Amino acid sequence: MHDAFPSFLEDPMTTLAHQARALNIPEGDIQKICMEKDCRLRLVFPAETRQLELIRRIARSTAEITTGLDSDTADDIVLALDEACTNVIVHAYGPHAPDAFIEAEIRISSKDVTIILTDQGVHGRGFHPEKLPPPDIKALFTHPKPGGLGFHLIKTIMDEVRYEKGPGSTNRLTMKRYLSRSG
Amino acid sequence: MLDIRRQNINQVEILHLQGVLNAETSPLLEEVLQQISQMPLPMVLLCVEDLEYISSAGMGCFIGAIGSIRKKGGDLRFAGMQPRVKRIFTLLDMEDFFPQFDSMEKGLASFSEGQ
Repeated sequence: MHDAFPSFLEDPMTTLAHQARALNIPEGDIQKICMEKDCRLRLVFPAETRQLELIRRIARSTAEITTGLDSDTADDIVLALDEACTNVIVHAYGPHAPDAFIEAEIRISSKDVTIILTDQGVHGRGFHPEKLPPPDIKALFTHPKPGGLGFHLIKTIMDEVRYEKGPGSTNRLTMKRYLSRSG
Repeated sequence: MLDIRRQNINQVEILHLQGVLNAETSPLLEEVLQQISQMPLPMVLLCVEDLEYISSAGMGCFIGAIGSIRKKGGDLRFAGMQPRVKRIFTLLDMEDFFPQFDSMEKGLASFSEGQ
């Protein structure tokens, strides 16, 4: 969709002088060149597992048209979103939570994809991801038990994960994935 | 959202999964695997060629069932796994956890060959 843009514009580190040379215009004539392709999507939906497929499809469609995001990475990010929503539904709110909602914000910039998930689940207060040990996959061979893999997947897929407890019972999970992991 | 078609060939319970295996649909599969795991020698072949998506909730079904199945000398194996589904096994470093085969025929043969 952005094929018409010269590739050097996608690199935020390219100097203005270089950009001006490439466009064959005097450097002093331009102040700033950047790709305006930031996208911000906000979804508010009931915290129910039946919503998961709809959210996954919306997020997948959004990720699909993001420049610099290959199909596998888009799938991974959507999986991280699904895992995060599932954790909120199953753990933060629990089975008896009428009027429970999740707010998901997906921000796509030229550098990264950020997902911010906000909920009001009272059980989320007791969640301490920093204390969560990584699953012992080898031990699962001898003592298989389900569960505990969702947050591990999120940490594996995303480059930055932050969990905050706000006023009242507000919980916020912020996950970021850089479009270029080498940079 | 998840369609489970059950077939029995040569004492092997074949489950054809089609659709999405997530926190909403995984209880369906959990129930079926729970039933099968109560058989004297549960041999399960999951044909996942038409499985579009799987999350950790889906993985939980397999992990939850495999203990009791292997304890009885049975096994749970996969056939026709597509890259998008295989990806979660890679992310979780669980590629060697369950035997995988290219086709249903090869998966079935693995049970009769005692592999």
